[in-house]
Amino acid sequence: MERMQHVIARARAAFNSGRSRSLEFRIQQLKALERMVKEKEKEILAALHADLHKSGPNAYNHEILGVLIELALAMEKLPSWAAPQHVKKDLITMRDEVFINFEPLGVVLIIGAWNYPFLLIMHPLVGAIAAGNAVVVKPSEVSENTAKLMADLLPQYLDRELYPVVTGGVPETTELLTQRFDHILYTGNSAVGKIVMAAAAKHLTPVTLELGGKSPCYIDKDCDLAVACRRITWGKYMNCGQTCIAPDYILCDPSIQSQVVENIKATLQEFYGEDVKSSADYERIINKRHFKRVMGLLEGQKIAHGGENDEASCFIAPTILTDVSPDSKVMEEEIFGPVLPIVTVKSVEEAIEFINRREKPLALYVFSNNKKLIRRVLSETSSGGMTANDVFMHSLVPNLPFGGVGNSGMGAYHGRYSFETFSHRRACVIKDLKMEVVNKLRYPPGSQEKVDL
Amino acid sequence: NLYAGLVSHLRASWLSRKTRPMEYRVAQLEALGHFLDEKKQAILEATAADMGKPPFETELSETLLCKNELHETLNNLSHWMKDKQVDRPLATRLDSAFIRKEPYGVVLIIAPWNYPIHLFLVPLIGAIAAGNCVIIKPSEISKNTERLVAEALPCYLDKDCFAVVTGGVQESTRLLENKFDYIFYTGSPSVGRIVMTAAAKHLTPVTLELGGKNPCYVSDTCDVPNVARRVVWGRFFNAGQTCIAPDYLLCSLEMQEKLMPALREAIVEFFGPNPQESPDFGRIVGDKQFQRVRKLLCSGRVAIGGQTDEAERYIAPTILVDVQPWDPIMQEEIFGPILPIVVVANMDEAIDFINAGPRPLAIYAFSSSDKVVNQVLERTSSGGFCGNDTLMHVTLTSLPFGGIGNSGLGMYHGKFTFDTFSHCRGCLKRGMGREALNAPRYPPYSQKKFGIVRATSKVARKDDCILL
Repeated sequence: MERMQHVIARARAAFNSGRSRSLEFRIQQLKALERMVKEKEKEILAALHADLHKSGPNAYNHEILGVLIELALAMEKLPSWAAPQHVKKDLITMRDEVFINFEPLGVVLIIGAWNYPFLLIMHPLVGAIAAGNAVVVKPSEVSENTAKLMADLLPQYLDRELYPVVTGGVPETTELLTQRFDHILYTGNSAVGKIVMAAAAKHLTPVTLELGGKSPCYIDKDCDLAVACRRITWGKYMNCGQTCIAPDYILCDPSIQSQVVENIKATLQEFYGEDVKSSADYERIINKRHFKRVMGLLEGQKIAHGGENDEASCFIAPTILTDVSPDSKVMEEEIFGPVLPIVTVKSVEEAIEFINRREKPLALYVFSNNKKLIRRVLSETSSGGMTANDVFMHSLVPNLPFGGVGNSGMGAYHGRYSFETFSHRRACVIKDLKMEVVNKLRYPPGSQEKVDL
Repeated sequence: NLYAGLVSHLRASWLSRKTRPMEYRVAQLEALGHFLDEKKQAILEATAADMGKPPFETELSETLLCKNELHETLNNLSHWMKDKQVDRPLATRLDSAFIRKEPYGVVLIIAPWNYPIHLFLVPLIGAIAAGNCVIIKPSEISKNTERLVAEALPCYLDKDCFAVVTGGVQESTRLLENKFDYIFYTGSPSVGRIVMTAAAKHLTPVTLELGGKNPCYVSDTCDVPNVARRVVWGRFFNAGQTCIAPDYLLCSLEMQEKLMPALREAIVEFFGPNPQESPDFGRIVGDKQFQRVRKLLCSGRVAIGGQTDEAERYIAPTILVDVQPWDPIMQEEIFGPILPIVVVANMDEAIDFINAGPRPLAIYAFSSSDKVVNQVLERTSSGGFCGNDTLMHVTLTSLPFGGIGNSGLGMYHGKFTFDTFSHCRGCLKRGMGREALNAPRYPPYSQKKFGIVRATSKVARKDDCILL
């Protein structure tokens, strides 16, 4: 614990030295990070495979590619993001310099999650470094191989004092949260999100909380079911369902429910072959605890497809549940597993009402050929983000902010939004000491003429 | 739960989507404008009764600045509300990607007593513009203004969507037990912590406009009479009860000697030989606050002013010298008409002094040398900064107003208020066709496939060769 305090104090001293401020320094660190990702690709993929049984191409696509894209964007745009922004002046300030300065916050904390353990540390780290901060990195201990790798690699490539990695479980994280930071970005669940925010409140530390929830997926009768189901299957079963923006459950008319099931089954065959367990591209549940949790959700449900499992290897087959009751356990918590419940609704109104009765989700999906219906679902619901006629893709547009609302989180990042999240916008006015005559209007003694002017 | 009924009533209105159409928001905002116009006299009287606010100051801070914000918002609302299209990488180039601004829902605005109209009204403008329902909690300390707002505001705004709650600490605590979709608080850092802790229970995002000690550095090369006037104006406005007032002065002993007669002259110029008789100088808001500020007069030595009158809660515009960093007046935000001067040898010492303390809401630096002003700006951190003047950086609707660290989190004014009360929803609309283009992303995975994925997703560096 003492070591942790020492590490944070050192980061603060390093920040106060001012060396993370220059753009050259920041770009140099980002370049080093880029080198690390490229040179250590094999080791990173091996760690991801050890933690989540993620196949090479899958892991590369989902965790490495995104980071390289973010790095390229930040290095390209940093000079323009960091430049003082001159703003509109009024009559009184016409001759003055009026601008917004983007300044680093200080020492920030990034707490990662285990489901995309490399991506969810690296992605915000890029923005935090770009904004000129010192960063304490706390990877999730649940994905222990990736955590250990990051603890080994980051000090080899980055400034050791400015960007320390802290490892450990709940006790270490609790201790970490008693320290003062200038911003905390946490990715995880809502329950812990509340704990993080309460800890941050003691120091008046701003937070970005990337949480979760049940992301609904409405399938309209008027749509190309084969295409819709292929896209949904891709998103739902990727990473064995352990994705914060996975389509959690489906809402559709009872008349198309069986078609939906058939289409998903066909796609699963296409993706993973006859024997899913032997497909190199299908992942595993992270650990026994989550395995038991997800299996528990199947109790009492009509299993239309799947259900096969093997606790020893934390394998759960891609599973579809039909005619699910809104009150059942599987509809209470975020599933975070390869189980897809279908809840039938008779109309889009019913679907919208269903969605709005629940907490605001991180993502929302709607499949339809009817543009008007899509517009309606969009305007009558709220969610962190949304994609129409596909899943996930809104999170891959670097210029869209990525974040939740309500129970699914607060704040946003990705691209420029990461830079802004980790920056302070300082309003600056620089006047002349002369031209006092203009100021005389505002000084007492006050008089009606002055007011009327 | 004392306020559960009220909150659920507003939530029902919120769910009815009544606050969404632009016409509705514009109508409510225009009604706020009528409130400011029709109740102008009442506002002047209430703020005068609460803290002896001079009519000129009330016109400036409680009316003019509020109307500026209102007009800025009404002029630009349709533009701010529009979906913002964004650039897309190759993979999504044919799709529609945009940011949709959405209201949060039922929001809470807690306002302080020092600018009792401005500090609820300006956030309220943004909250309404963004389409939210709002509960307003004015401060019970400025009790005349509290009564005015509680009685008059509901006559102008839609009672189903906007409500005023009155009361003290107990009522505020009960109010904070409810779930809100956003909380906007202006006040002290210690209560800011309480508000954020309460918000954490419901994962409610917050903006906290707090305070601290705003340093004012005066370098050895400057136009002394102008500096004196600008500092005196900023310090003694509202009898010093301003979150962005210059809290203390840092300068060399030589500059202090030069400044003293200029400060004295400026005070006389503004308030006459006996400021207690000037209609342009305010009073402390309450007995408790008066006692607190008066005690601070014991630090250092009174060079100008120092007179007090308990019956009127009057404290004269006062300058203290021989103040040490460990004196009581240097341990808390003064929030009164006293300006201590702390002597420093040079600019570097001033900067070190500033950086040793928590980051303030504002930093001021006066110098004829651009280099000095820029050095102070670059080597310190604060909510906002003003070179060669005081207070002015918050009067522009184009600049964000907010703190950092102990002085707050979040920001507002102008479009920033609208953004504060809006959720930015990232949206992507794709078509069902062109499914072949998606093929590379599906399992079974292969090296060849992700070469294509990489090519279509990436953001190329300017000097990358496209062929590689």
